[in-house]
Amino acid sequence: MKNICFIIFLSVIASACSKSSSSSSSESSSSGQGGSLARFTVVKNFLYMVDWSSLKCYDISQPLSPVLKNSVPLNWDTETIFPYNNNLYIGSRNGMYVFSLKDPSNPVKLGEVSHLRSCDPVVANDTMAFVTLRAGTTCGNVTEGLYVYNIKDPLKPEEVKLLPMTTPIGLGLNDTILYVCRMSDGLSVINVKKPGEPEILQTIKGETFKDVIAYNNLLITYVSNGLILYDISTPAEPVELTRLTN
Amino acid sequence: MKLIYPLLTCLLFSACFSPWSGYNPDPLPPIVKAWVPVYGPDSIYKKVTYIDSAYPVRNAGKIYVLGRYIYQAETGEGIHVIDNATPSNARRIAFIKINGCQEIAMKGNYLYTNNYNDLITVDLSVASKATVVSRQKNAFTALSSSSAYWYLPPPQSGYCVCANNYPDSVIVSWREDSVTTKDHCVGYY
Repeated sequence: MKNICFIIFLSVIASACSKSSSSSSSESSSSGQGGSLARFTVVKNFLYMVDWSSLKCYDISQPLSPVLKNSVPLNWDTETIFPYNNNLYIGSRNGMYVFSLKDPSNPVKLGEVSHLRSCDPVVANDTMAFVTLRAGTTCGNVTEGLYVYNIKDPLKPEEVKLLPMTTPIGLGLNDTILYVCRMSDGLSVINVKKPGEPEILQTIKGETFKDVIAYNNLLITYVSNGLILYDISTPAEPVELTRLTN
Repeated sequence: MKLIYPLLTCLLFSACFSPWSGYNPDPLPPIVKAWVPVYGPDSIYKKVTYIDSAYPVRNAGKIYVLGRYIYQAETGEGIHVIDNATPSNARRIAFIKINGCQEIAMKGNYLYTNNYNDLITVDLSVASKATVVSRQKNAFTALSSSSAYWYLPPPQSGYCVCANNYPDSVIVSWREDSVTTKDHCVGYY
């Protein structure tokens, strides 16, 4: 009973912290790119979604009739899903999981790292995964900040760095620049060229930043009252282009 | 020790949604002012429509980009369509009304999202139209407890009458009322 209650408690509150997505191009059958807070993502002919306790895999090769191929049980507090390089990186309240999509209809868990309860979207590149952990009443008690994991061996992700910072949430990676949303504390632009020594270059303030998508030269930011677009032709120096806020 | 607070909160919190709960925070007064779920028929509240103009932003949600368009959820209400052909002049051009919606993923002209706890496929290939071409009912209720995330919570904390999972209706709002606790499953949100 207590467990079940806890599941519900977390899952309802989870809407506050939820994540993901894939690569982009403009051909008509391609998928797009989501933010790090997404729970849905499309990879090739499959739609993957996480609810708080399972990873579900739908075959969408026939869009008019998606077929549920698999439902992989996870811990009860799963929140976000991020696809990269034929892997899925799944953020949950108590860890990050790496799943292989070698067989796209049957995701297989490769590795995981555990941490204390928190909210935690993930983004990744070939060798590193970046996870934000946020403390607070709904998210548990951890050292808030940006956690960097070496994932060269996805079976054994290793923590290489914790950069403490307040209220980090959604994040996005553009080559060696990482953008981390920090709610009302702003949007931090972080140099991760040396992943073991991430360096905050600047923090843009004035809005409540929740999530980002780095999309070619465009940084799409989800703020509490809408959307702000930045030009990131120079990735370290976002230049505001448009705001679509209420 | 750390667990105690969330567990307590959850025990109190969850009863509003828990179909099996019957759990009551103890002791309950005989009559309480409580949030009572208001249900609406699926035939109305699960209808998806395309609105050919900008829609107000009240509760901005998750973002998605594909080709020249950016999509942003209006949490619980639908999805804004933003024409991003020229990013310096991006603007909201339409709104896809989808109640209970939080998520966005796309492939080609097909949008995958949640309509409360149903997974729906929406065909956007025809201009100014949003056609539901597939619906997996209760796709996100593998656990009966799961309904909680996808349903609308009460607007404020307080006592609440436990929600039910009906096959043909969803919670569309909550009203405040005096409730006799011995006759109702009452929780705390």
